[in-house]
Amino acid sequence: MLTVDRRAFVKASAMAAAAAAASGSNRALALTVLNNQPEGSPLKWQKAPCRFCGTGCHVMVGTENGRVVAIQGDQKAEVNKGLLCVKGYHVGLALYGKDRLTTPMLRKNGKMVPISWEEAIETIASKIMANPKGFALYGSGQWTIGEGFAGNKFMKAGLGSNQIDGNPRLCMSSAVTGFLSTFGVDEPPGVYDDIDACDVAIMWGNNMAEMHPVLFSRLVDRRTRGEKVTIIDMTTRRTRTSDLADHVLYFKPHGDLAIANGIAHLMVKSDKYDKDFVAKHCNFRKLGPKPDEKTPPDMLGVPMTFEEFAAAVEPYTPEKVEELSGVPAEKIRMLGDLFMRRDVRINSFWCMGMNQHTRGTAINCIVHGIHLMSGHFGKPGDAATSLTGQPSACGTVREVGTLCHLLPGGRLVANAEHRKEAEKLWNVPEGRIAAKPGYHTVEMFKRFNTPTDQGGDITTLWVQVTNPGQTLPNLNRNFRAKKDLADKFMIVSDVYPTATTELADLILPSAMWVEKNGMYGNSERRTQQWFKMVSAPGEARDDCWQLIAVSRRLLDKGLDGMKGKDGKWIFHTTDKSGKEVPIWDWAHYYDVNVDERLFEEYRPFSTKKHKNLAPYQEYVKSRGLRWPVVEQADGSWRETRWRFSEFDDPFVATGKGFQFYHSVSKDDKALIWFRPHEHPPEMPDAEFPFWLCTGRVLEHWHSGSMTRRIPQLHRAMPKAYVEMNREDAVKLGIRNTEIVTVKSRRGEIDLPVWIGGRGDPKPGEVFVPFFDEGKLINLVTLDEYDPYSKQPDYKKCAVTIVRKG
Amino acid sequence: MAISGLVVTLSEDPAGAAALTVLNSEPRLTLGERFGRRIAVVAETPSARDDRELFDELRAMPGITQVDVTFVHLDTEPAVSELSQQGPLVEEPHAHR
Repeated sequence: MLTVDRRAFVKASAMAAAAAAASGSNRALALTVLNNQPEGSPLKWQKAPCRFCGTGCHVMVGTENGRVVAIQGDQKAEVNKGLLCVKGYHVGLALYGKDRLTTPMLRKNGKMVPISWEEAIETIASKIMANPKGFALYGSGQWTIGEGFAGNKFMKAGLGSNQIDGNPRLCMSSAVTGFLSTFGVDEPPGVYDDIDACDVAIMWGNNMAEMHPVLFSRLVDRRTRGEKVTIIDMTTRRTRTSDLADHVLYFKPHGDLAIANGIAHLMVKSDKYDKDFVAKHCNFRKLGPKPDEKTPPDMLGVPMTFEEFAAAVEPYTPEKVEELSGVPAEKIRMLGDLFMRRDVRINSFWCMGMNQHTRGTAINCIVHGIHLMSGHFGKPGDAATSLTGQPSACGTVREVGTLCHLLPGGRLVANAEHRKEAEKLWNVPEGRIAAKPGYHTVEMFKRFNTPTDQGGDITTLWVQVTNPGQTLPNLNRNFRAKKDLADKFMIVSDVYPTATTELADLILPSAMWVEKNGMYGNSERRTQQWFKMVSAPGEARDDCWQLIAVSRRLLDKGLDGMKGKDGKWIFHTTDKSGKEVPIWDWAHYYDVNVDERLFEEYRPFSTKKHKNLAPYQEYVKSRGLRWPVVEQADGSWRETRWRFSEFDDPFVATGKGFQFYHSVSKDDKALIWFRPHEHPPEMPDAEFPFWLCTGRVLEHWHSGSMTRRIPQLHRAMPKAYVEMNREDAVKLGIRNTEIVTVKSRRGEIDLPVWIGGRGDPKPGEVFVPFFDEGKLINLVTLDEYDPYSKQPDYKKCAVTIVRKG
Repeated sequence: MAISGLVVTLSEDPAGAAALTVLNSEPRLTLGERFGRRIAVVAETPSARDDRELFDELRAMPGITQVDVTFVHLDTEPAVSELSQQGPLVEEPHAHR
């Protein structure tokens, strides 16, 4: 219970935090409070990035007697400036769900029984030794940078296998292929500062108000200060973002490509594109011919002239775009006029709407293209901003390269020079890294869920920090088939029971968030660091330790791959005196800072693609730094906000203005792509007449395995539902809250109908959130994916709605 | 006991002034410094559940355009005991539970 003194202190802290945030810049006030705790108060405050989305808000975590007891928005954090969303507000409670996994469990005779860590590590090592090529590791954008780096090294430098992929394949890999195709290098050129400087914010299928509420708050807060910011919400359904938008443009699913091409068409026809910028800094590009019937054209395409580009966008008149997208022609003209203006700054935003798309690479490329053509690029407020869904999809997966085709620092496994560099940096023999990419996520799970004698060559799968049993598309095919396959073995490291642990053969209890040291990288290239603050419950241990312990066991069993060129173990670690620390032994894991040791090994990888990182200790001092972070003459480290822009990017040569120094065309120019509108692979028909779109809600983070255990959030949004348009409901005689079956060619689930609720789809469309493990909408979704990013489309498939009884 | 720090943003119209009157008379709230339309507020309620409900009330109140959270105190014992009283939150327990 709170004593009177404690209560007064807590109230003072709360008021100080609120006042500091309300004032916008009163950092000193917050610091005063933190430095004036009552004498004898054991409350200790430390910084950490929030555990949930990719925004990268910082929180101050108050701990007392080994528990997290208070959270406040971090006044020092540039990202959130002291504010938090409803999930961040409750993030501390995510640690304290009553059913935390606390002991390893192995399935024996059909039942999960507790076992020792020794037996768990031995079991995994034995499975790998029996069939190293049949082993795969499935990681996460919630892996810390250290965990991802250890997993990548374990697989690619240790086992010589590229069978590692991560769940960002399901959420932002189309953004990656869009950046690569346009700029020749991944990750956004702009930063969140653009939100503070833009005059127009365009949401491309992006419900920022619910998915990135702190960033949306940062945007609409400018209106509170009397600034004019025009918000244009391009969407397939009304959302909370629509409620605050100046213009809401409803488009048909897949219509975004037509809209973007329509804007390009208008710029060309009006001859009002930014000719100077385009001439100096851009080339035009299109896809080349298909090598054969089954293989898509090369992602990096072939050159095209401006005249060819103009001819390609010629058919996308406003009227034609209206027909394809459903957006009225005058609204397409309004968008075109905006892009042609030089006196406004335009910031486009997108997230899953453009990425979970069978044409995800294409729409990413076109949106970059219209920003480049119009010159709305590379100045504060003029940006095309991809927002990520997970706290370290960028930092861990894209930058560390924990995908089946990547190596750290933007290198490719298929590139001999890149492999050689990675082998040198990892100090393993040449030839250790395999040249052939492994299986991307959907393929990896298909193989695991296919009988071994029928081509299912992945036999043991280790899942860490993610929940594919809920989040993969077409779950009956891609996840649940495993249940009947006796020769498949699934290991799952997690903090709570989930739809994935349900089918696991071995469950490993993990430490989470501030129960371990960590680093994340957010949507704006910001690398963030935190320290362990409290102990994990029971026998739960760090995911990184789990990987390292298995690696050591494999070494002990004689697997030579776990040795470097010098004959030492690949995770050989010493203390300051040079004495080896047995970090494979949990009792000694925290004798040194393993996170720092791994980060310093990773840092040299980052310079090849100019993603330079500072030493670990610089991140300890900061609330994150945006790469490239470059050492200055005085020994300080300077972060970069706008890449490729001379005024801020240290790698742009003097006098160039802009320089795309990883240009696909090798001439320092970015690419403006033509990619046509095409229909999606599955569309509504007589049998399945509705479009189904899936997504998230404000209260729950992704599959809800953490947020559903926070009572306040669970009560606020307890169950999934199907949003339906009133017109459709009336036609079918469906009442609000009535239970209906949502059915596709792949599966079905029963859900209550919500009419006129938080979101409101257009006639012929329905929406279902995916947070509810009791209502697995991914039994229904389609597993078709973009041919380049391999990212599935969770936003469009055909379903029918059937009344019960 | 739950204590949280909030930033409440009022609208510019008469509804904003009316909302301020309501906030001033609300016993669960302590109003702090005002910066233009933004006002620092501390909410004090018997439980985290009440805190959340108050947050929702504020968000829905005419004249209030935005409620941001800056601080929350998760008093150890109530938070944990509240969780333990909930029972399994997930409605379809997994086989290995």
